[in-house]
Amino acid sequence: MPPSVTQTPRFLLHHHHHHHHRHQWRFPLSSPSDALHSRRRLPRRPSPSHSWVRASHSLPDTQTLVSSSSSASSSLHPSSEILRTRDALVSRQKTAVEVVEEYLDRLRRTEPLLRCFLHVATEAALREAEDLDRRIAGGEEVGELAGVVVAVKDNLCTANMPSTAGSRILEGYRPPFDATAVRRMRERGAIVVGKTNMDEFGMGSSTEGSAFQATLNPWDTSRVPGGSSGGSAAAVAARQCVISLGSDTGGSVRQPASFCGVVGIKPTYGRVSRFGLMAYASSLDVVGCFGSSVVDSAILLQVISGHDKMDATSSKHDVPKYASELSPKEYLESKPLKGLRVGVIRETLGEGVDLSVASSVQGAVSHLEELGAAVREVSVPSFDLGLPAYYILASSEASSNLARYDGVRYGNQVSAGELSSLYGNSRANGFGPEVKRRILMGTYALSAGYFDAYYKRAQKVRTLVQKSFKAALDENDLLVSPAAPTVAYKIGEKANDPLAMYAGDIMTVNVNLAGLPALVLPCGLVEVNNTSLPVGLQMIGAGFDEATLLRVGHIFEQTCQSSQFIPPMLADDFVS
Amino acid sequence: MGLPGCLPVLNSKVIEFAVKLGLALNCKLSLRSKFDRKQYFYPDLPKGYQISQFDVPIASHGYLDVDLPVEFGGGHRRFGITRVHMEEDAGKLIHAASGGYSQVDLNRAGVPLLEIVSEPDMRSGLEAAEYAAEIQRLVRYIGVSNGNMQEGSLRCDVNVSVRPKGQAKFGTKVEIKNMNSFSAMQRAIDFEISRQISLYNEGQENQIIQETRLWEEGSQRTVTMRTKEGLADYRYFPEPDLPDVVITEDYVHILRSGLPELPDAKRRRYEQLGLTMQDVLFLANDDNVADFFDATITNGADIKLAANWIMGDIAAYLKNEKLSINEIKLTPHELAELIASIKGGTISGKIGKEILFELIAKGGKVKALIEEKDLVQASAHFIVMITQSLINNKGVFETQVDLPSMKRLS
Repeated sequence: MPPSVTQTPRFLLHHHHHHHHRHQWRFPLSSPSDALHSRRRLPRRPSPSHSWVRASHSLPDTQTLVSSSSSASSSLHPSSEILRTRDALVSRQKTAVEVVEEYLDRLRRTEPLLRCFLHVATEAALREAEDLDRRIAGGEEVGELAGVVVAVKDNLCTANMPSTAGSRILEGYRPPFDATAVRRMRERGAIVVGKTNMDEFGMGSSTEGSAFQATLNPWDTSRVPGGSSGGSAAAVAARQCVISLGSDTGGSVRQPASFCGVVGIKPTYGRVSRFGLMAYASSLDVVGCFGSSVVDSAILLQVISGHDKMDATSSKHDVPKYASELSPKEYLESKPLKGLRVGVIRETLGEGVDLSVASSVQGAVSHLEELGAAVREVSVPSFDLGLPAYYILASSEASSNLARYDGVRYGNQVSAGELSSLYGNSRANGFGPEVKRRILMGTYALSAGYFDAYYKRAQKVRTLVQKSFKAALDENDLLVSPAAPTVAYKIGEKANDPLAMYAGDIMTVNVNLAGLPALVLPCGLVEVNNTSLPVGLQMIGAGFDEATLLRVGHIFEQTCQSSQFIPPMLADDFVS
Repeated sequence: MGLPGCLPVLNSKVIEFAVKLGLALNCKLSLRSKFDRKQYFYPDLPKGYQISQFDVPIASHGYLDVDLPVEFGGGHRRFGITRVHMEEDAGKLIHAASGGYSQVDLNRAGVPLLEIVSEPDMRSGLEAAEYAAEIQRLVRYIGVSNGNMQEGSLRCDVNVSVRPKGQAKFGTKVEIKNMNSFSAMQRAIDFEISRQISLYNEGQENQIIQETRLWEEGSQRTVTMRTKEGLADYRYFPEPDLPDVVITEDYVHILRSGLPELPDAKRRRYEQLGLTMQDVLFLANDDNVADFFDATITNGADIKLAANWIMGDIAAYLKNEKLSINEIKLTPHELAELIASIKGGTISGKIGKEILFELIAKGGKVKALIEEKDLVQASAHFIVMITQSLINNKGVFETQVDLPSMKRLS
């Protein structure tokens, strides 16, 4: 693909000197009394002098679903499949069984082609739906994800359901516990319909690295869905489920979200518990969310976030009510993003990025400006160093985290008469080539005499990346870039070229190194040989500032021309 | 088990114990320390790495003062402590007698441990055994461990090297494992020392290689277990799943003030009471015995007498009956009472002994027992006297004695 972009981006290049210190961006201030409230986290009551209203008080509290709450919810957020499902259940328009069967039906029709799932739990899902119907009929309170069909990436433990991390070494393994994120979803009534396909142990960017099958992109089945959470992204894109969980170590939620035209959230490191996430790189891994709208992704994020005593790296930071702070389209002012400072990362729109992608992102940035945002270009100087630093750190931690897979206590064992053969044969047989590659790289980087040159050096680069981002985020409320340098590429195109595959992570790895949150949402379609392929816009925020990303993302989505990104293969199912 | 998706969580108790132990060993504490992964493959190590502390242990640069037993020449020694660090235990391998298979018991995998590394300051098996015994005493005193070698709550590995007198550089060190008691350790070390010296004397010191040898209790010798081809590369790197351990001066101060009197301080105090070194070591070495002794003298007992009773008759009883001093019914108060009674002449030493055994076995009060026993003794005595005088004084028949409780003889 020709990489050169000759046109310089059309942005406001002069600096608006706002504040010296970082401040939390708030909705436009219209009166002196607003200034007093500007630092308050909680939303204000609407007052008659404003045409724009913060909607949280008219939205039902998303904590509990009470029969008396009416269809106010989904009519305020027509883009939310979760709220639509809830309304249908509460008003008894549909039963949970009907809802689940609808999704299972679509899944059955599309799975033979797309192959998003490694395991479909049909019986369990229907049983849970029946149980839910009983409880609703009995007038019981049910959680905010009641009846919502969810898919879970196969590296997240689901009790008694196969969990393989896309690897043969765990073929048949059924964990005795749920990952915390899974447990929290289930506690709110979510129905887990199955486990999704992925690059083995999270190592890969196309899902072609799965030991079992390749998942195809619903927009064009000759192309990859992205990776490593390809199955979770494609399943949402194909509406086989409403929302799904993925994981993001170097871009594994954001890049597939971009390739599949869905919303993907990578939370701040520590926002969501890693307990039950099969570790790839402990200091980089996060559990992430996919949804077909920002509202749905926000609801899911809220459910799974929060401190967990089972994860010593999880944060005690409060979890804001992300979904409540998203206002319906009707209540937005004409310049709803006024006062928002957006920094476009210079290093992400130059050489190495497809023209079509750059152009889509520029279009998105213009849209942000039209909405009132103050946009300028920023430089994140250490950007290019992120990729090699990431691969050293991630591989090093992976070589350690994957040492436990020896076939002795669980998973596939290749028996041998002697211990090191047992280990060697089980691992050689169970791991795929990319996993072996990274374990070897990581072992080398940590070995005596090389630690200083590689691991320690990479940690220093990591510190530089963190500092660069912090500096950029001191001057901007959020930063934007593409989520990937290209649109979805053809199956097999990069499978035999690991370095080319790695290069595709350039837009995303720095965010993991810095531990920051990021949101990806579809911002345009690109025509390639009569096929439309989605492009995702990545927005990066300050630590634990998912709320700003979601608010901006929601406004962007609601005011976009093509607000519904439905893959053509489903056009018949969805009549707008 | 090292199940996929599991994460380690820090146990706050082990930090408290590490700080207490570090303080008791006179160490410098690191207010900020971290964990590292020590990586190697072995069946008893489920994750394929052990969480430990590599370059920043929680405590370092300390010392331990030990008194060698009188029967082995006595003397004070100060042994350096290189470091104290926290780590997790591995599982346990159980080898089938037939040799056909081995089993892995993972129950203790992940349980926190404290590792104490000493400076190479000991010069004989005896010194090492006394060092180990003192460590055992210390951890029991401060309540961080049962310190039981048989039960595995105290484990010792040793490294032994020799060098010609006058040479500054240390010789090649050999690791010895599989010693199940302090005396086994002492014998193993002494054997290894003489093995290495023999090799030197035969000009074959290059046969001393860095290896791990096993102590064979049966044949009383060390044998090669495995030869290490150079040092293992553990590929240490900082543990990403656990945050840094940060302790404050206040926290350390609170723990320091909560420490009991340590064995060495106790020994110095007993020395100052005027006891001999033999007495001092006996009384101070077991903190239950020391507490009993301290309580007895607090009740006013004569120091030397108290020591003698405890070390003599009481100790003998305990040994025979396989009891510990806090399991007997005799209380320090009553022992003090007994000692005072004997010292004051109320009863004889012989009677005192009898009363002692009653008190130990059944408890009770000295005063009450004196009344019971003393009378019986005295009355028997007088009957003899009177009979004798009757026999000796034919014709004279006077009762000169007036004992209210005595029956008149007719």
